[in-house]
Amino acid sequence: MEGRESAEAPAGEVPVVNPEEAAIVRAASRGDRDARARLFDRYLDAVYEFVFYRVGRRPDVAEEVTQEVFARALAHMDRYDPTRGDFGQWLGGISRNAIRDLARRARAPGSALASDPTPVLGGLPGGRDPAAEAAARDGEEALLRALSALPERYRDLLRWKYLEEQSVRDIARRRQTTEKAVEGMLGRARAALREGLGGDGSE
Amino acid sequence: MSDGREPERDGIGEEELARALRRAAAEARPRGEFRDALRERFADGTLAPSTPGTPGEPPPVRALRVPRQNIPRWVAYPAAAAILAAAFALSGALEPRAPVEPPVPFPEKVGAAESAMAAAERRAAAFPALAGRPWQHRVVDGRPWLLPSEAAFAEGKELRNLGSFMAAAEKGLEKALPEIAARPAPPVVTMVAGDRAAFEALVAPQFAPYPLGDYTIAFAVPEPGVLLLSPEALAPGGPPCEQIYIDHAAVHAWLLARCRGKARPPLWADKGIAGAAAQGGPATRSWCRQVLGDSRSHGIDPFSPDEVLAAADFGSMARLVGSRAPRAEEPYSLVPVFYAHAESLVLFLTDEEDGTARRDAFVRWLQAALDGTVTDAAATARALGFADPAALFAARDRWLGL
Repeated sequence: MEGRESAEAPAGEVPVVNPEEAAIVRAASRGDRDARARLFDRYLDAVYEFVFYRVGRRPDVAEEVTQEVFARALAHMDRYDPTRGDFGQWLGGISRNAIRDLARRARAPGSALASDPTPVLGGLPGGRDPAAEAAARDGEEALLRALSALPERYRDLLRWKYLEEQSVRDIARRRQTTEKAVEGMLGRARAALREGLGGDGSE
Repeated sequence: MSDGREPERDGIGEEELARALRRAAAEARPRGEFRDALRERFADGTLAPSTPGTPGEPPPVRALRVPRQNIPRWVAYPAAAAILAAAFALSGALEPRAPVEPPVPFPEKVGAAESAMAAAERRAAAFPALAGRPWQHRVVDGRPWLLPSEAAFAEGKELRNLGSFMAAAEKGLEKALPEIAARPAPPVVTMVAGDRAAFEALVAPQFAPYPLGDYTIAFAVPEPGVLLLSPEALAPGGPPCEQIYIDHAAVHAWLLARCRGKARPPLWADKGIAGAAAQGGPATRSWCRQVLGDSRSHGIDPFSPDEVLAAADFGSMARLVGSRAPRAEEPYSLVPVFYAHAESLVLFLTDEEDGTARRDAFVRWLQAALDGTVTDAAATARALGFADPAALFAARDRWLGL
């Protein structure tokens, strides 16, 4: 859910971050079916992934929260302010709130999730699942778990570098920073990954 | 590693990592049936949230239940009128009105350079020292400038030179704090005051009671997005120490531009980042060690750890220094001790010699501060990973070699 370039605006007016998208959202909030479908197609994968890693990689919970995010977006679309960020950023805020609500419900006595809350809480700050941690010590599953526990910026960096095989220069351009800074962050991302695998994080 | 490729130094092979990333990307995709069903309901508008309202909304207002009583009108109406009159008088509405606050100086966050310049110009009109003069709009090497229209000395070469100082300071910050660099920010407009008196009229009150230095020629206006220069900065060759002042103010402006709304970084972080970034790490570390060591050995360090972390603004910090000055005739001679505390703290917290945990905590705390989270000294120390301010300062001292 990355931001986009700011658009030109008349003097004194706060510019709309993404005018093309703002027009789609306006149409969607007026009930335009195609506009809603376009927004959905544009952001479903990003919302789902964002949620997925934060709920302990449980697809059933991720689906529940994703559905809640789009339901809230639909109900409150008229509150979206295009001068404050793009629609993806707005959905990111709704997603965080929906996950927080889920965590509250998971901890509440008598909730549907309370019977097995640890996998959900494991993906939330402060939550741990020691049994699952022990079981996942070896092999690719451990690496996968360590990856999913990384901060999003580190996971993005590793994905761009090792999966999409982008050069450090391209990543620097994408993040609007220097190659040196990207190299430093890649080093820190790998150290965090190593730490997540049970090492001391030092190279 | 099974792929036969050389693993990285940390033992995780690139191929292994790519495989895990591929699997992670695949498992973090929604199921097709889920996608189709949800898309249909979202597009149709039949999807409803499970909980009423949006988190963060205020709870619905509940009316107080007042038992109905049969009070005669001739009693109830005068009594109600008397109560309303008393409430009206107590509310202060009858008091003389306080003077209207002057408009908030300088620009709202705007995207394009021209919009930023126009906004800066409009807000400048609120200041008598800057009001009533037309401004030249210039963009030099992508950097917006507002110059007094009569400024015959506004040579492009000199603007490029000053702009290169600012660019170098900003580049250093992008390297040192890429996470902060990534925050949205308006372009910083550099505004040149018409004369020295206008510059001082605007800047001196910001430092009061500390006197404004003769060589101070640059100032980051507290409202984000404007760097104010005194006109001597445009003279060929510039005044003494020009680059130091411009680098320092450019860092403040860069940081302020990344604040959300009216959020501002605490004084120690603001001064610390500006000092450390503008003057470079090793030289600053050595200077801090010397200043703090000397002030300790003479027993004249005016600050406790809590006071450094809690300092709200430059004026209150300077007044505190003045109240504890060892020599009454030089009330502010120990202000540099604050800078030494601030800069050494920032250097210590961003140093990665012992791992990245300390730096990560600092960046997290700074992001929150720039978003408007205000923490007291104890909470700041805890957020930075220390039990209390004293523990933070003790660790900083050990790092400095004190």
